[in-house]
Amino acid sequence: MATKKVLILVRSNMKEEVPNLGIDHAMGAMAVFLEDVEFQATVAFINSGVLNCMKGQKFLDVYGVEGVENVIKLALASDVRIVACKEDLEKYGISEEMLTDAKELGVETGIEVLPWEKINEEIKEADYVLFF
Amino acid sequence: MGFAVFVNSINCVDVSTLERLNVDDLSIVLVQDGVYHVFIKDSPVKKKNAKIYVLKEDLESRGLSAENVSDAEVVDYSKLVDLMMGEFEKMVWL
Amino acid sequence: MGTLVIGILTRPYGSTNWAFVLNLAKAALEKGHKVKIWCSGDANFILKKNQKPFAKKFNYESQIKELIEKGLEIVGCESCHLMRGIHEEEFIEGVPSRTMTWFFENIATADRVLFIGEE
Repeated sequence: MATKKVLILVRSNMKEEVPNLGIDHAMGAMAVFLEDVEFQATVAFINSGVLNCMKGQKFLDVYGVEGVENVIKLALASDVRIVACKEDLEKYGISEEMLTDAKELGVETGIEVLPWEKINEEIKEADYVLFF
Repeated sequence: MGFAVFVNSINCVDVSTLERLNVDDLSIVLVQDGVYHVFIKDSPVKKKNAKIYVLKEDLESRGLSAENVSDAEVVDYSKLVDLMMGEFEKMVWL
Repeated sequence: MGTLVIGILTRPYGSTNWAFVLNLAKAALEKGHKVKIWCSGDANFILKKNQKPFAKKFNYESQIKELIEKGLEIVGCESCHLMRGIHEEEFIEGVPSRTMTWFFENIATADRVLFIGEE
């Protein structure tokens, strides 16, 4: 069984569907069952996309629809690896404590903060690179 | 392994990602309004150590021609397909 | 000859991404390659049939029909098109609705993948 790495880069914030679609594609990759291939999906939030990672988003209360924070939680619970770019978090003044997690779903693994240099390496190594 | 970045606009190009992307054997393919980057003096596209391709049909549809282009290779759709199915092993659209 | 899979989020009109994608698909098909297109998000609007042709304006329905005859496989994302009130029976003839796993099943065997995200 070959493992193919899918790297999805989400670059925008609060455009509702686009970040969600990026995460949905990652979860879709993890749900594929093929005889000889399995996918390991990572969603990397870069540029203003890192703003999607903040905890305490009251999207459901304000708009009555599921926000991206909840989708991130579900992705973490589905073994999707979630990464946020360290430099971009710093640019927007977001500390690691401000990032969401899925502890209430029993998931200990949270959002991984990586410097761009490491994300760049993952772009080189991934079998599929999808910019959303 | 060839890595190709497609750029399709003047202003909406993801400059942040383009500037810090560091991959070997980089090509930049300028399509649609992205073709204008070959004429922009300080374009971030030109600052990359990359082979630049410009889509002929998108030049012509904008009143430009291959004669206007230097420091880039003008390719038509047929040649672009050859590049995509041959040299470019990984492609991203910024 | 190889297989090219293109994923795209872009709306059909108001952008020339689709003109690029369909011209590219045509060139690839004419060279004997297989081309498969995955429509996600607003890209599903392009799949609606009965797009009225206006003289000398883009009419993607006729282009898609022509390319399907040449072997193009193009599919809509089920949840995306249903969310937009478009049902599979309203699609251009020969276009099916698929779930997201279609995209990954097909890139697993593709020679090349190009994904066009947000504008």
